[in-house]
Amino acid sequence: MNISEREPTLDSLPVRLQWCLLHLYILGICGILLAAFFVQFGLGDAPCTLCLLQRCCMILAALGPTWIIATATGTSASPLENLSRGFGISVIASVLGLTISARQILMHIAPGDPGFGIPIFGYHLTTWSFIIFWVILLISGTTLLFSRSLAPTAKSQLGRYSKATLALLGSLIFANVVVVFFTHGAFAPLVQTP
Amino acid sequence: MIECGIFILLLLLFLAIVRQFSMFSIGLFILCLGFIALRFIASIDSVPPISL
Repeated sequence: MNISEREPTLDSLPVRLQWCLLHLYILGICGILLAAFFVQFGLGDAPCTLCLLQRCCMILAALGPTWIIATATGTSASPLENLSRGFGISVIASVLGLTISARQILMHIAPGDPGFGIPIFGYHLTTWSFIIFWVILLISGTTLLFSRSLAPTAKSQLGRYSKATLALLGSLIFANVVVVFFTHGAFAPLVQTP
Repeated sequence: MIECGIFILLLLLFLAIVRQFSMFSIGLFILCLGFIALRFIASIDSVPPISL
């Protein structure tokens, strides 16, 4: 049966909440990326290599929910399979991001070390990054635990909020490409001792 | 250059996911992950300022 011919189904409350959570997840990471831009340009704190790699991992983690939302309009895979794949992407990206941020925290663990960059609300950005990756892991793990009852139902097309969320994420990834290219240049060395 | 390349790959991955190219997306995801991991490993050439 064609996707567009499917009868609209009334989603259960957990499925609707999960659908909202997926959007909030992406919007949250978009907010973090915008905050990173503010720290970089507003406060003049240039990122190091490890900071940029953590930013990459955060984008990669956001692509998990993007997968789930994008494939909700119908693929050969089942909704449960798409949910598992999406959060699988997030879990793997978070573990890598967690490793990178832990490495950067450990580089400044010695007493008297001022840390790298400007502290925001008392913590350095790498510590915030560590906390955020933990939260992403917790959300992903909890959702996978209840995946059978949380898998989104197939939709004929995405709503405007979904499209706007995906467009915002896409724009921020593009902005990162432009910023990294023009601020660090094609071959300019980054701060190598973060 | 590597960081810029990784961000370009991430943008391609985003577009592939949105266009629902499943297998291509999985391949790009593994490629992104590999490049980030390799760049991270390559950055571990400096000794942390802690002497045990």
